[in-house]
Amino acid sequence: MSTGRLSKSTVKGFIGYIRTDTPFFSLSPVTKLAVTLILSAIVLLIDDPRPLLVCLIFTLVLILLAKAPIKAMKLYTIGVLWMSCMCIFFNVIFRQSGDVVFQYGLLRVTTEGTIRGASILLKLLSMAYLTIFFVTSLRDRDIVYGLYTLRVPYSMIFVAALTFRSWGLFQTDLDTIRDAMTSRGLDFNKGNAFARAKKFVSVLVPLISILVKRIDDITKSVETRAFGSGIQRTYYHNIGLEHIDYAIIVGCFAALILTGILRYYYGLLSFSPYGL
Amino acid sequence: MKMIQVQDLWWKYEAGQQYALKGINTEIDKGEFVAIVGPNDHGKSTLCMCMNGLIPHAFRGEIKGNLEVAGIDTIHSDIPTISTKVGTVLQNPESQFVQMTVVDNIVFGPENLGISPEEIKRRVGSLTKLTRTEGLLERTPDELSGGQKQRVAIASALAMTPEILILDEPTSELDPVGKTEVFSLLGRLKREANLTVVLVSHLMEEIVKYADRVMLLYEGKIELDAPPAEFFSNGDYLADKGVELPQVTEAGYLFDRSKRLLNAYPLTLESAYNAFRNVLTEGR
Repeated sequence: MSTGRLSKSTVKGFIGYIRTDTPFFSLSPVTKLAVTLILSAIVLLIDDPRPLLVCLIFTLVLILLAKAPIKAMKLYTIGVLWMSCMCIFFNVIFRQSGDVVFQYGLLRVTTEGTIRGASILLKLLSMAYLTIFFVTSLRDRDIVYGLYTLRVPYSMIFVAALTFRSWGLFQTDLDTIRDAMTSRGLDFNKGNAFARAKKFVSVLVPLISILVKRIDDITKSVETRAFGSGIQRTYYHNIGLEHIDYAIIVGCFAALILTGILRYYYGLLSFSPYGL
Repeated sequence: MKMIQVQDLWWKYEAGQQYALKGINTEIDKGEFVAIVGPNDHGKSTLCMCMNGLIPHAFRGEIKGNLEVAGIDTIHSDIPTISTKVGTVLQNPESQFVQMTVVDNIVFGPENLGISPEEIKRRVGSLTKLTRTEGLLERTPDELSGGQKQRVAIASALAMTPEILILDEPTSELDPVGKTEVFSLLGRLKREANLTVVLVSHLMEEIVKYADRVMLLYEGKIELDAPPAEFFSNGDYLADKGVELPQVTEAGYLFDRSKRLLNAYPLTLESAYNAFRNVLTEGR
């Protein structure tokens, strides 16, 4: 249950709790998705590390404004940094042209390797943080409401909603079965990987049995509430975009077009200033 | 006015060896609160599924007889049509939560029926007041107690504005607080909404408080159908059929078996207190 100090201004999000008192909370999920995709495309068009650094700072400002949960960010940042380190390492190792910046034995770091490595690092970080901005400012229901807005057929929306809903049920059932088995002396952490996997097979039998019962109940529940009636469905929620949503999406598109022009018409934002 | 009319209803599941329902005949009036009791697997839920149209439309099997619910022939009609007249609440509150928030769950049925958003909004307003779920609208299922979830399930069923509400063991998976919440809501529905209610339950103490009639379904047949006082006066017979009496009724039954001092077996704690006090003070 969402209780405690945070509950007044937070709601349970897709990942962690999200603040409701931010400029992004009331935006349509479609807008958030559009911002994420368009800004990611802009980042992909740019090679020069300097404007990429500006993009990264802009993304971090977005995250700060969205008051994304730090706990959720920490986890992702560790993963992203690990991936980025690998990218830099391979770029530095395999890009050997240009001036040598540093050499230690066979390890040679060149200007090209450094610039290309920095570019990829900044691209990855920007896109990763944009995804974090998207994911941590959303609730699972926002994704469903977004699908409404995009006029996706209701059967698909219902499947998405039921998937999100069922995940929680599945976790609860799995935990219950595991607890029951643990209380009867089965240690899931004991033994090698094969032995542990074998123990999980024993969980599957009751789990499948429960799932079948749940599916039966859910079917009965939706059937008795006229699901699939063939009647033109209405929507209780206002699923249109507001003016602010349109303004933001148009603004992002304008930025994308501008970036394309600067890159391909004027030759800016590329590696050309570095002679690469 | 007859709200439910069942005539010589027989039903056998496709995989079943014998009929689950064997010649059911009954009538339920508008506004009546009928409780169906009996041992497990003796046809209670099957009868409910016949009333809401799941049988024969969602289950394969053999059906005979006639069943009319709110003027609709459920055997020859479809489930969406029946669902406008019959609301159903199932045993498991979790499985009835097919959407992610309380409000989405309540509006799911009316949206499927193509009701206008304004009308749905009006229904949400009145129903949440009736079921006392106003403050829960934006909550997700994991932020609700079992009793709250079942109240939401009832609100979701009522959002279709049914004339009949069928509840199939709605409290069997709830804790005592949840059970009290659900039954007090049923009491409120009985008082404030002129709804026909069919309830399957094993909670005899609660049944005697709300039911106008109690029906014993045993081996697919209605073995006994009477108002609570009359129904529970058949103590030995009910015990033989595996039906428990309300505790105070059982106490009265045991007390009176030899002495024959009580005018009627008590059904509630209050009536038991009065009956025993009369016997102790006045000899009757």
